[in-house]
Amino acid sequence: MKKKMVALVIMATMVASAVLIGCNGASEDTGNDATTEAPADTADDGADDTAGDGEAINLTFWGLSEQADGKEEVIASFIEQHPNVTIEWSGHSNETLHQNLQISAVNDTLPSIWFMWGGALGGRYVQYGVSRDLTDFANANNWDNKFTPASLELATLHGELAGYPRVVNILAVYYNREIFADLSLDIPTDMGEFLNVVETIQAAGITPLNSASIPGWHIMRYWEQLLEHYAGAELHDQLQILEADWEGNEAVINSFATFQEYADAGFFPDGVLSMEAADLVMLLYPGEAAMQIEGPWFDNSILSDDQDLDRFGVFAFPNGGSNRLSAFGEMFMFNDNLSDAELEMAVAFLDYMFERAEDFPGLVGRPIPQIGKDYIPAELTNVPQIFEMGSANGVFTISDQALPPIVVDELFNLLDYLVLGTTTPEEAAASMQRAWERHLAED
Amino acid sequence: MNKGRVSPYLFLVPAFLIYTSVIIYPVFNSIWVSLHSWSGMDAMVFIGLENFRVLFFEDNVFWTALRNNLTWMILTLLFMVSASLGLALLLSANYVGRTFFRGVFYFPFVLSGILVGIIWRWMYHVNFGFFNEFLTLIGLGDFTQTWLGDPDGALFYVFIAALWRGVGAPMILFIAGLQAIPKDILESAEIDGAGKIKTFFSIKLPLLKETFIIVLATQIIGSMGVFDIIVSTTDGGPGNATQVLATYMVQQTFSFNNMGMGAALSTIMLLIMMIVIVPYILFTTKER
Repeated sequence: MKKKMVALVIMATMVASAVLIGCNGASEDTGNDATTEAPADTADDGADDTAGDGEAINLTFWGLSEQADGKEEVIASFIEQHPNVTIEWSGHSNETLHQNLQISAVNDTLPSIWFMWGGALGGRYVQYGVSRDLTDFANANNWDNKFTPASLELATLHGELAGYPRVVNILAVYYNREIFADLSLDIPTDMGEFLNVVETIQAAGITPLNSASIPGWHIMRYWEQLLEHYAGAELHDQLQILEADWEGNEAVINSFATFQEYADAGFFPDGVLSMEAADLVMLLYPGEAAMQIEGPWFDNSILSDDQDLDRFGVFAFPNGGSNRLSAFGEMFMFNDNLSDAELEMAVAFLDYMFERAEDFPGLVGRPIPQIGKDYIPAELTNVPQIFEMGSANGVFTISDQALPPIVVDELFNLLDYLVLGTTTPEEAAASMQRAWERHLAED
Repeated sequence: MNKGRVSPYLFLVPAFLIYTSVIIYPVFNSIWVSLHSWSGMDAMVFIGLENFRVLFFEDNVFWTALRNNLTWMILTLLFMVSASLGLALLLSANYVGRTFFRGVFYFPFVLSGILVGIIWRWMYHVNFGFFNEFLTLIGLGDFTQTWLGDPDGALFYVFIAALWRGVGAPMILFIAGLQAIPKDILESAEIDGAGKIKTFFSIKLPLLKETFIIVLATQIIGSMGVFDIIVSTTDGGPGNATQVLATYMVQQTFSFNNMGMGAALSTIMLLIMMIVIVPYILFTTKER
């Protein structure tokens, strides 16, 4: 009898634990369905709520660790004015932010607000219905009069307004003024002049085009300018959404071929394939490299490295046409499960944060993409010029945001293979097409 | 059933429950996920063995990663084991300062793989690295390399960093094994006129059998799971030349949102490791 009882107890315990585990698994499997259902309910519930009515609101806020400057202060200041609100800030490295967000999305535990890039990276949250579509909220709150059109465009993904625009980044060529002056070089205005500049710099024993292949997005910035040069604006835009084929496309093949010629000619640093983007300033600052494609954040980087910003100027890569610059957006996305009151409070907090940007320059460090609030710290001397060029020349979406992740990964590999000489431009174009097809098949 | 026979099983229940929930369930769940197409955010779609078919028949990077893992395993068995045994023999002898040197060789093992990777990446740096600077300094500037940028040599150069870090752990095991050899056996061999080489091959090596099994099993398992030092030195590049299964699994899972493919890769890693672990467990339990 005792033996049976003991066996029964053990069996029951095991079954209970199995059921518990099973429940956990079931919630994981179906959690996403629940997530997509939830907004309707929570939205209905939230419709009766009004922000700031004293009801307790607890928000969680994830971003990059490097964005932590001033966050605690501005949160404390906001909470002082809204005692019913708590905001828990959490900083992550780039990779862990993506990983933690993905794990949270699986478990239906996404934070209330999270930092994200535009393009395919932010698009995945829209695609799977875990982020809040702000279209109605934006219409109701006149966001057309609040944010710059470019910032709203970059935050619009899969037909939804996917986030609260944080910043618009436009990339230009930073160049060392001293090297250009010493070699009597003018700012190049077309590809012929650009090549002359590059060759003159190389002949002087200086690396013309500073870049790194770890990760691949840095060296990609040169290739995409070549694609813009050969394809022109219209075809480039079509290629980014596969309205034009990559395989056998002359513009694509030429862009890869010229990129390979640049690598073979030694225009990039020695060992470019083993260099990290963070290493590049070690060549740029001492004048061992002359040019580097960067965005408006680079002014801040130069200053925080105690370098003289006056040594560096900017120009638009002379890719032809209107010399469009590449651009990408950053935004804050919201959990689809937020009630209306929570969403209103989350947006109110972000508004407050941006209003206080002058008090906390570390909060954004770049121009705020809000109309009438385009505050740029005076010491960032190149930033206004970059944005003027962006407005005048126009922009195209940077390749690693415009293309799907699988295609981006293939592109990074292909650029490595082209540097190594283990693939041809024609094969590279065909590989890009196949990567697109894999993406479409899996999508 | 008497109380004495039941009690051990009751004591095992908590451990069994924990083991089931944190080991057994995730393993089987991972295998289950590998049979699906799943982004991690949408509904899972059952596709049977399609992920495995794609990996084995359509994915060149998978084969590169698998080949790199096997290369890493061979390098580990050849160099890590022999170097650690050699150091153990040197550091088992009686001389002043041997404890200090044991510490010196064991020290890198307490550093994280990421940190070691960063240190060695800088040593290999083509523009500012120690190796190229040193070669230039001694007049061998023509022999400077791109090191981690060389697709043919990058894996081997990363392995050297891993060897520097990892040699201390098996070395300690070998030292313990050598110290466990009864002194009277060694003294008898010496009296019988056996030289150091004869003593090593005829006495020490056979008596280190159990230590070897532990070292080989842990090293093989470790070489299948190599990840952090690859990420921090080459990140799988250049052009996937140093991609291994673990880095490719993370890439599939988190960069491509391809949970099913990532789980398929982890299942393949599990199966390969089982080939080593099962005989190892059978052997060790049989011996006892």
